[in-house]
Amino acid sequence: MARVTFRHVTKTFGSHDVLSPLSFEVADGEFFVVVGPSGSGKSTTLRLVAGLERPSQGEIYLDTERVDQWPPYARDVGMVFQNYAIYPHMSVYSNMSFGLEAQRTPKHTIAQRVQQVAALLEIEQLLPKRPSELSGGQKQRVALGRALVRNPRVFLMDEPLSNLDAQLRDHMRTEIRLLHDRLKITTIYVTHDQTEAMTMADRIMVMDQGRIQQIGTPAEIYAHPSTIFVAKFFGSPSMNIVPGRIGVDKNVAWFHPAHSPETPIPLPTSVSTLLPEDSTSHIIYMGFRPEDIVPKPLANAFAFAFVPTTIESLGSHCQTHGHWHHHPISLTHRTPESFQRHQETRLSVPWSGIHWFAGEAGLRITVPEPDDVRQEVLTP
Amino acid sequence: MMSRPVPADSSQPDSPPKSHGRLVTRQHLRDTVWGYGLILPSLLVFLIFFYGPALFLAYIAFFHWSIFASQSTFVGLKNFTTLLHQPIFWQSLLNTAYYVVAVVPATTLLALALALLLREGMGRFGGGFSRALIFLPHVTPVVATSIIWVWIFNPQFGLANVVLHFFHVPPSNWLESVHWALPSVMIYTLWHSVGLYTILFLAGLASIPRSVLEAAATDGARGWRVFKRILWPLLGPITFFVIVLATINTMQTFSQVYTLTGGPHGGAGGPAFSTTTDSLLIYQTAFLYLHFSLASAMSLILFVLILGLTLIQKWFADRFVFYR
Repeated sequence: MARVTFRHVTKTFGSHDVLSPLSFEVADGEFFVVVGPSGSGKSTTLRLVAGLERPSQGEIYLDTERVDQWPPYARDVGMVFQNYAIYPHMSVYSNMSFGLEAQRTPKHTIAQRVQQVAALLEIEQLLPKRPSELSGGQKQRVALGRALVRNPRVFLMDEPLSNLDAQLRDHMRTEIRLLHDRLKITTIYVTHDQTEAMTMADRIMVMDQGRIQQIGTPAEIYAHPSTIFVAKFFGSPSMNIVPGRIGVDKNVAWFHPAHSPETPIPLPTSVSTLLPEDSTSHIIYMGFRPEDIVPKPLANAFAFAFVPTTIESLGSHCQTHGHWHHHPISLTHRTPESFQRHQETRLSVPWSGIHWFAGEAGLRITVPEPDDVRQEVLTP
Repeated sequence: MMSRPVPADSSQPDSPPKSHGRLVTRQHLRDTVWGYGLILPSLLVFLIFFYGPALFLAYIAFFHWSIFASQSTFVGLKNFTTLLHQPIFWQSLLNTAYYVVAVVPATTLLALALALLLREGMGRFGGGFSRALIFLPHVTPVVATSIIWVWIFNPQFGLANVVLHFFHVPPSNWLESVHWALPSVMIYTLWHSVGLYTILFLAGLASIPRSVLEAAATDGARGWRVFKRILWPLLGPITFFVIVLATINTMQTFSQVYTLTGGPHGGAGGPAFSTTTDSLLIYQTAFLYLHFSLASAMSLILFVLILGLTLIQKWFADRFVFYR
């Protein structure tokens, strides 16, 4: 078990920068999920830990040892590959014993360890089988077992569930997390699936285009997304983003949405005083999650006119899509009767549910903690 | 497709328009005729120059047949028993066996080593240029390059002895020595054919998923262990294919022996029959001494030997080779 540290790590393939300088630390025993769209550099980050890639610059540490120039076989990490990468010509037992043999572990210890891990993963009856006789889920378990059997310092998983069907995926998600809670091996888990990230992680690192967008607990990342990218990545339907500008008139700050600048929205002082001074000079984005929209007018809240176009009932709740002056808006609500298609209604979002972002990069503007604002809304 | 317009002077002007189904059938028929028409030339060549002679060969192997005599007489197995009493026949079998046993393992191992060196991710050796360089000899005509190698093996001023001299090894008479003539042919064959087998091994290596090798690396394996436990077993099918192909090719070796050891000026197979392989003896018996029946019998024996050897190899492969 070990701590993993990246210091200013970059990776360049040819003239293409895959990773801008990355610095982060994974704590000992932590379940650390790296999430991002394809091409975000998340797999490259994992392969750097494994030693399957060498960094172009920067340092990688396992605990206090600098390992970035070590070959993979010297690093003592266990890796689970997306396509499992089971040795096709070996029995399940040999697949699992291979790594221990490479470490020159005594034979009887090998047998013991393999049995132990097979029991843990409930694959004892598969040990004499050939990989071609296994189902996808069984291969997945063998791949986990093969990586676990050596009791590695770090456990690396590269989209391990993406080849499983939806039901099995949900099941294995829980199981991998439970396994981690039992073994407490430092785990770095790469996925493009926001659900896996949210449900499994102790902490999440969100990546896009080779850059770290945000590192934090699932709750932090959901409540305080640090960029528009992060805000839109988590949650389904994703956060509504409304670009616009801030204007000041009669000592009141107004938000002029880009899609209908002639109907500005007055901002309460609790919000406007906390926006940075230069907010009037560049683009400001207003963001609110579909579930923070209240399908009725509220006092002391941001309100707007909404025309629903599609109403999807999912049983437990509904997703409604429509627009606010031709700007697409989605919301979730409990009862399907709330709306009639093409009939304008007024919606509100409490000011505490509004996120603010600024500039080209869409960086979060640090507005007050939601709780502070909520209090102010309650006691005007 | 449009239907053919009905000629104006048709004898049945008011016949009903052709149904769609009949049109399709006609189209199909036309396609079939065209298809067979297109393969006919090569089919004819194959029948006339391959199956025809092969069947005729199997026939005259049991007859006393001569191009000068109009009659051929059935002699049963006499041609075969005659062969068995000919020392030169046994000598040729022995030469061929020596040649096969030396060349097949050598080419296979060398090709495997080169492929491992030239495979993806092996840095500066891994490029297309070095692969092309290795493959190049194989696309050259055997007769043409053999003549160059006659010069290389020249005892007085050939390159081969220059190389030996460089390593302080006493010079050899190469093609003019009873002991070195056949090994010289082997060296040429190695040079000429290793590229083909290297390419086959490279294809085999490329078919091994990269993630399997990466899994082995993160599992802590390296070098010899990766080769022995991962690469070698997964290359099994291609290795089997290479060995069978190399065996068949070497058992039929003719052109390089013929050209290197004598060529059209005679004396091929020397010195002292030391390079007389099966194929060369068959050629000489048939076209130099005009004993076509004996040559046919020898061809038949060679065919049975190759078939038997291949079946034995297949039996081994079925037991020990892992097929994905």
